[in-house]
Amino acid sequence: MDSIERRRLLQALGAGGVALFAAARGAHAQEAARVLIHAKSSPEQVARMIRLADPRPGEVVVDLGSGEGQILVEYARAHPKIRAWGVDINATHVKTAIAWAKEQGVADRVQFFHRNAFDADLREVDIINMWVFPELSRLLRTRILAEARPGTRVVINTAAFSEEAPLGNWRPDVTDREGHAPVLLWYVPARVAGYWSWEFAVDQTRLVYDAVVYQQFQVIEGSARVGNRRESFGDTRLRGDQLAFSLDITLPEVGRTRHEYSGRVNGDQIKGSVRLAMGEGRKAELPWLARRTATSAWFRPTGVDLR
Amino acid sequence: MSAPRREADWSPAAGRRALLRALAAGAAGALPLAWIGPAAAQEYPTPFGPSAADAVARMVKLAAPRAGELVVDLGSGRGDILIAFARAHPGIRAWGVDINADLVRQATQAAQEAGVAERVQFFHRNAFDADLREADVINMWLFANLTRLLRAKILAEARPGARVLINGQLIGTEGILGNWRPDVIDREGTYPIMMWVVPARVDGYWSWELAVNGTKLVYDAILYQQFQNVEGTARVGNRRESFIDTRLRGDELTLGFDLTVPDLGRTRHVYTGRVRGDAIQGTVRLSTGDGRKVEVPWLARRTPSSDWFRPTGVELK
Repeated sequence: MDSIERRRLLQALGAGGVALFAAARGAHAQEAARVLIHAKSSPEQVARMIRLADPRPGEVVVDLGSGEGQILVEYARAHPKIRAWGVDINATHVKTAIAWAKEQGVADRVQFFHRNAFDADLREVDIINMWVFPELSRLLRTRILAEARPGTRVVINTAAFSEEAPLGNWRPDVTDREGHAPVLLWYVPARVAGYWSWEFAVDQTRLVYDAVVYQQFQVIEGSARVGNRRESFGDTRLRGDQLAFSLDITLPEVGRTRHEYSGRVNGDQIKGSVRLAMGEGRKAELPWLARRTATSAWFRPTGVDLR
Repeated sequence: MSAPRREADWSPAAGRRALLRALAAGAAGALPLAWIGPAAAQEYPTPFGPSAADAVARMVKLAAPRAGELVVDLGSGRGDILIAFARAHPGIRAWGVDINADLVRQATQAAQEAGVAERVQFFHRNAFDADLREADVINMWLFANLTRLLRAKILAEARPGARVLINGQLIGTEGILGNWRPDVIDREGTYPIMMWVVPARVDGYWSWELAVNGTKLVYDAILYQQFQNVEGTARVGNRRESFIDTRLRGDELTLGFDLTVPDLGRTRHVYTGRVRGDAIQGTVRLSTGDGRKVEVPWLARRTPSSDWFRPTGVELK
């Protein structure tokens, strides 16, 4: 793209560039990415992305479609202890971005590569930024969900895209509407769908819990069985690998008991603690260790005796 | 009607009295069965109330049972629903379970009196212990939290395409099975009748080939599933696109897809097929921008990993 085209593009963006972006969408999104996406984010949009992502020292920040490097250079200037890398399909932009990082004195921590965003290795990253066509971000979602570790944050600037589902049915965990276009944040959820089992001893009674968990991205539903009683979870929350839910259930020999579970999902285990509130104001806090099971005793016969 | 309040006496006797009062008063929609609360749902049988005749007729119509199908009622009470199904459709079989032995006896007798006893049976059994593997239609009218819990059993056990019917009278609406939303809602009467179709499992990696214009095209697809809602993407060569106009109803899957195909240009694909475990079999209709149309067979197979993820490179053509 020569400088006249670039000026025209920026003018169009300034004058409501959505139409121009929209014109290049659909059939040509993957081709158009090469020429259009380097348009600059407004500085306040970038500041909001950084604030929402809230990087901690030592974290790795990635930009898929890094253009002229503006976003990652700003991250590095705002947070001296982070490392960052970006990929772009346009070799000229990658060169420009490298030069910009040097000029701003952050080249030791910020690198840019001429690479397809679909080929970026997302396994060790903490924050993934995107400002690309929604068609592309929806496709890149597949790669993020398959590869990024639970807890990785995804930040999307929606400026110039009048679209609030850039990751499809995976809805944002946080939406910042402070500026002229929403900035959206997701936490990659741990996989918790399936069967889990754990046990406690309460008042010398050994209690075995068999749970069935359903998951739609970060939205969790589930139920557990203890003895012949089953109840649904309440107040479920999954953020990255942090899982919390409550369970009100009548325990054999103990009676109606409220459970508040919170723990960290690590593959086929969940480790944390549970706070119990039993009858007559009795409370307890116990360690909680749940294990994934191949089948579930949730489904074993119940009988017709309701007590 | 004075609806019992949250801070009501939770003793068994008080709970039972409140239920009977509510039922006697006709329990107009203001008092859902959900009210009795989780504590009591498994301590007591769901109170029995016969369904209104017009509601039963609507349920039979919505389920549209075909000859040879098996209709199940979880919480069958006096059997009126299954007897109505059997009378309307002489080709079906039906069984119901109820936790109340006395109601099971009454239902058995009612089936005999209605002359359908050879096709309609009732058992004294916990709904959680019913075997749903062969059921075509599953009807439920129970405490809201029991209904929600039985969802786990239905999704784990019933075959794809089984229909779940719930009369919305007193027990709430679309959220009664949690985030699994109804496929069809009949709002013709006072209360909605809701129907769900148990979805096949399509989540995961799939692969297939098509020969188009003498060119072999390999499709590597990834499907995401939230009950009957399906999203996904496929890769052909170095191009990836998202599926559009997806639909999953039981084991019948439809996927739309737009892709630039060598020599044909931008080509709309409409896949329709039937999910059979680790295979999907059906057809795909291809239509090009210049109006050419072709229909070819489609056979997709599940794969443990996906070439969708293999490197793409920086050459976009």
